[in-house]
Amino acid sequence: MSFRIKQKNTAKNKHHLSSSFASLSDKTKAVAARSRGFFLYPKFVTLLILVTVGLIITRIYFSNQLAVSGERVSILGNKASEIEQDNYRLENEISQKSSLSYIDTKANEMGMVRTNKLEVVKPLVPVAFKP
Amino acid sequence: MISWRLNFLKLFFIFLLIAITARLFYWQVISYNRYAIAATAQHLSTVRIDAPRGRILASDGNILVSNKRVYLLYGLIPNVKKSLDKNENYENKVNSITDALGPILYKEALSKEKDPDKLSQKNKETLEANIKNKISGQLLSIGVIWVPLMSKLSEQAVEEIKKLNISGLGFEDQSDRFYPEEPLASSLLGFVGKDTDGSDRGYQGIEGFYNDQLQGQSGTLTQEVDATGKPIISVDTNDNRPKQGLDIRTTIDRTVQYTVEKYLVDGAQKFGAKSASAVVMEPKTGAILAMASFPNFDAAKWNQYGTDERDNSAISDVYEPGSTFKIITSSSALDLGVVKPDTICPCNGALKIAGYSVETWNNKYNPNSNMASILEHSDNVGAAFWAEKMGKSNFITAVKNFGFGSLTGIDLQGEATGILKRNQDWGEIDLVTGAFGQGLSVTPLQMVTAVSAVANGGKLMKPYVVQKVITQNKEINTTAEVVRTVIKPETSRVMKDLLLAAVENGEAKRIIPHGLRVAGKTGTAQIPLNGKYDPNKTVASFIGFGPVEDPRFVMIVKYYEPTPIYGAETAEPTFFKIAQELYNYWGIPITP
Repeated sequence: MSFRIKQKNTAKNKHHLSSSFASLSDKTKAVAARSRGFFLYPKFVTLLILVTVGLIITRIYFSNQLAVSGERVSILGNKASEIEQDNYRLENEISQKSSLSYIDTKANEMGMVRTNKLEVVKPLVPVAFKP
Repeated sequence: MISWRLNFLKLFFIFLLIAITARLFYWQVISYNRYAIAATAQHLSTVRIDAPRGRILASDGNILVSNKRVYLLYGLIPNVKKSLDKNENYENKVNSITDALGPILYKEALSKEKDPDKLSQKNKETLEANIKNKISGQLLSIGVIWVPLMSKLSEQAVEEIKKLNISGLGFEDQSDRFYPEEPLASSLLGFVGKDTDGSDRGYQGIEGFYNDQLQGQSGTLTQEVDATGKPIISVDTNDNRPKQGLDIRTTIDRTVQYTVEKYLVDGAQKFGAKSASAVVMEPKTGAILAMASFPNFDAAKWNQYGTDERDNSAISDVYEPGSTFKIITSSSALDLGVVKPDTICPCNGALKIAGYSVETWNNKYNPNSNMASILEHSDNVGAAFWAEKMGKSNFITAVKNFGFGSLTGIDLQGEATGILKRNQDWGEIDLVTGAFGQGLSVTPLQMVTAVSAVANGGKLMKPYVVQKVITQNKEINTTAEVVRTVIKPETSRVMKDLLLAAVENGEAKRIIPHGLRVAGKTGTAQIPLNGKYDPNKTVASFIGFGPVEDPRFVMIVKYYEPTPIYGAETAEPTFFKIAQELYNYWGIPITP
């Protein structure tokens, strides 16, 4: 069955095949010419390959750096957040320890007593005289 | 034979191609939005980040309200199950977790109780049992992975739980309000609760009025996640950071506030008053220096108090002001020119009007009294005499000009307007009783604002408690605002002398601290109950300002149902205790 099909196709496209051979021959010529180009400019082609490899390595390096620095940034972000929280905590501790109720309690614990005799007076004469 | 098979195959592939194309068209064009959202949800994780709420500061920059970090304890049921030992069943594991967590969480819950020391042993046991039931109930839930166990845990509790090293438990950051001066100024500051969608929201006082400025804008953290849902760190895209709420600096002087609260609470307890309030205002600007209410509450445990305890009675309670209102009547009559300081009132007996008898508080009469004498004796008949001289229309206009019957416009949530009758409903008796502060209702803040106008030369100031809203780049300052001029400066000057004499020659002259020149007036108003005035239940108050020459403060002290019932024996002593402290604090020289 396959033989019959092959035979049929071959018969139908006889003219077309012959022209394809011709064109293949042109391509072969072109490939041969390019091969000659490679041998003519080996340094250039090597350089191209090296540059390509270099670019690939650079890309990998930067991708890696991006991933690593992303993690580093994340760690720094967490640290900044912790410091911010410490700041909050300290601020709250300071405000609590400087609150009037706390000071009042501590003053009482230390045995301090409220003065009942305090009067602000307006001096009738200047306090300091010119020498 | 071959031909039809080939054609069939061709047709099959053509149909297959059409079907795939149609399906792709359906997915990529018709259902694009749905699948785009699903895909985003699959590889992007978005978490809402609440913005820290702005702080509320005292006038000296000290913190009145700030934020603290607290934690939500949660359980991941699959992780708890993974940690099961051989031959251990899940229920036993939950029981052991509950026993371990119980004491720590009970301690936390107890610290959040309104009055932990007063809790009975039975109530304590019930509290502990409830906590344990909640933990085991949550961990035994079916069909869920993540269960919350307890919110707003302190750092100390978290450390203790971490030491237990229980697998499957985790913590989530939360923020809570922190009150370093608690319970200072709680009714003025308000509190933070939740709104209908579970976000923080301020209620009452400054928290309520300035909620929009304080709450900030919550943000979102969007991260790419891997197949297991874990975030990929390197492609972290935080596209919408939360914006912290704005800080607010108030006009509240915490020393004045502390002093006022201390003496007000002491007085309320001593006199057995049901409630009390006090306001201190700077008369030249309208800035509120202190505002206190009794009973007060702990804003951190706001949900354990009733509405009555949380209300700021200085702005929301309406009461009949009694004789303190004679300041308004006398100022208005003087300003209108219908009376002069030396105008003589016959005042030789009870006044009979429209079938009513208007008497003095002690049923003693002082014939031929001038203005000073009427104020010194707090003579109701004399006040009625001034009001009648003014006439109904002028009296009503004057009362409204002083700001009664309308909001003062203070920047606090929960202010009341007071109660004034409609113009057409005022009868002759209303004019007379209104002259000595009965038959109309006011708030303590309205009284302070009105008397400030008498003290500052006649300008009715708009009261305010926030001096500036602090943004990242600038500060938005509040400026003093004159609402209107209510009396002439000359009237104000005369009134200062009259009110100084009223204090120095009044009922409680013996309690005035040496050298304090304070002008003011006591008030003892009966409380209307079931259409009648109860003679044994009063609102006792004192309002005054000092130093008289250049007033630095106007203050009101008010007690509801104190014993003894008179303002001169309750509110006035408290007023002078506070005034003495203020003179010392501000270094105001005494007058020898």
